[in-house]
Amino acid sequence: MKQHHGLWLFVVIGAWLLAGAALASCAPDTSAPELNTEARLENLVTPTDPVEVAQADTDSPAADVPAAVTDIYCLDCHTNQTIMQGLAVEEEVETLSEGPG
Amino acid sequence: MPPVEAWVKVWIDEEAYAPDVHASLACTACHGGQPVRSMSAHDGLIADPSADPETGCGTCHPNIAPYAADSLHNTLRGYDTALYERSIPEHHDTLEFMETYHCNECHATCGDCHIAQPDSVGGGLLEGHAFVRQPPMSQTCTACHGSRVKNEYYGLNEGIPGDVHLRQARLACTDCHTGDQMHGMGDAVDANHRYDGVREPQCEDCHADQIGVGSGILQHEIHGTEILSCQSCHSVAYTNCTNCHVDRTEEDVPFYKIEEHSIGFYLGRNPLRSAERPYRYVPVRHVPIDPESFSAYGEDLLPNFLNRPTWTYATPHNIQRNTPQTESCTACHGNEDVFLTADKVVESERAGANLNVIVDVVPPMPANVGQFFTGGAAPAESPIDEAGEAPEPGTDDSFWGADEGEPAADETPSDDSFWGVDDSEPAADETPSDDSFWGADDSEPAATEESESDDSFWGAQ
Repeated sequence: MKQHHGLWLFVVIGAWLLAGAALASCAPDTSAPELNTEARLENLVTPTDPVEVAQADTDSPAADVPAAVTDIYCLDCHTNQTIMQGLAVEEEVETLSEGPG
Repeated sequence: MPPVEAWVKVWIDEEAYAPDVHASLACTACHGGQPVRSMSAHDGLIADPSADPETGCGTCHPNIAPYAADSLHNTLRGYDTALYERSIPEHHDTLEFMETYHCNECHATCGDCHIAQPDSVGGGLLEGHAFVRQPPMSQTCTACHGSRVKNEYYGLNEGIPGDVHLRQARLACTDCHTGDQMHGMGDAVDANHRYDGVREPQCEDCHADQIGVGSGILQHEIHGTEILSCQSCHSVAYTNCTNCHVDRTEEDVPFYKIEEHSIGFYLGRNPLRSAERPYRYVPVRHVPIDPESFSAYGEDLLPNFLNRPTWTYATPHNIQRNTPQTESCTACHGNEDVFLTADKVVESERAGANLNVIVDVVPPMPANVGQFFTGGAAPAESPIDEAGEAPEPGTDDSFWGADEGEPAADETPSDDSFWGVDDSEPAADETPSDDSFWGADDSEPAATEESESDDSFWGAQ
């Protein structure tokens, strides 16, 4: 009888472990998406020239706003297709909506 | 609408954006953020600086932004108007809470039309951050106004051709719906819903010489301008949704379900009858609502459900020159299929404001109709009575059917509408000649150069 009990215990624990493993494999991947570090590093060590932009007419309200050096930082990345393709992450949007909407 | 890749949504096209006057502004002047070369530059980022049109765009566009901020597009006030009328003040907070999940993505900011696709379809820059003066139709207008306006206008409802204004004239939304209207300016100021105040746009804007008495068009001479809206004869079957229920998942993801919808065309009594919209009959559409639409947020949130009609004034965007209604007089006169009679309304909705819409007596074929064809009648705004005399407009019950009384004053359908089943197939592919549809050459529609360019018309793919 004792041997039977040991066998049952083994079977139950084994089943629990298998079920746990199966559930874990179904869990959504919540890890951070992989980033294109190569593209980021390349850009970090090789800054590109500032992008030239058209200037507003002198009588435009926009002309009163001083250009900022921070534009370089923004535009270096956001005009670089490779960087954007590496960094921009597609959001998985699951919709439950039904009907014409 | 094809999905936009994630990187395209945030990629600035140097060539497209550099000539734009807005490019002379520092990015951080509008978007905030941090002056560093790393991802932490996004700390404090304002993704949509036009979310508050006045502080965002209003700095440089003070003549437009404050109006846009108060427009129906930005405030979605039309929904509040409709929901509050069906509800009571005690439930307004709950309804507003519901709207934060189910309506707020529909808010259209300046940027949602002029820089990016609206949030409700996932956003994404339109042309590499270049500002687009005339929003591209498919990426902005019909991205939101999809199931009804888009399907009707493009001809996506099976067996029903697209609107003649698109098929023949290649008109974009903005060719009729002006910037002033979209920005809540001019006559659109303070509108509480889509059909509030002045009719805009008006068919007369382009078709002035073809409307009503003096047009030389027999049917127009007979019916005048106060019996039927233009759409009553010139639109075909459209979508009617009979309900809509909203809820959200345990993860707070909002969703909706419309369980029943159908295609049909019905003329009902005009629930918005006024000097501006004097028509006795108009197409009416069932809006996607029922008493339990918001029950996930509380019980009995719409206790005055039928304070507004569920069958509402509609202006379907599937205009044709020839329709089933234009085939003959008997296509409408004496034809119950065309009218919203009580049997087409579910029993629980045969009450309240719907009573102002349901047609009790279908206009019969007039006994003296022959006089119209022999020139002995005085039709139009003054349809003749049986004695051969022209009564005051709107008083000839024998011809137009009994005027079942003025409808409730301020019925305010905020939505373009919905419908029941109609077995009658619309005319297949009506292709009127340009001249007959648009009138003489000197009054050609203003199809802009932009609207002829595929990219600007449909939006870049």
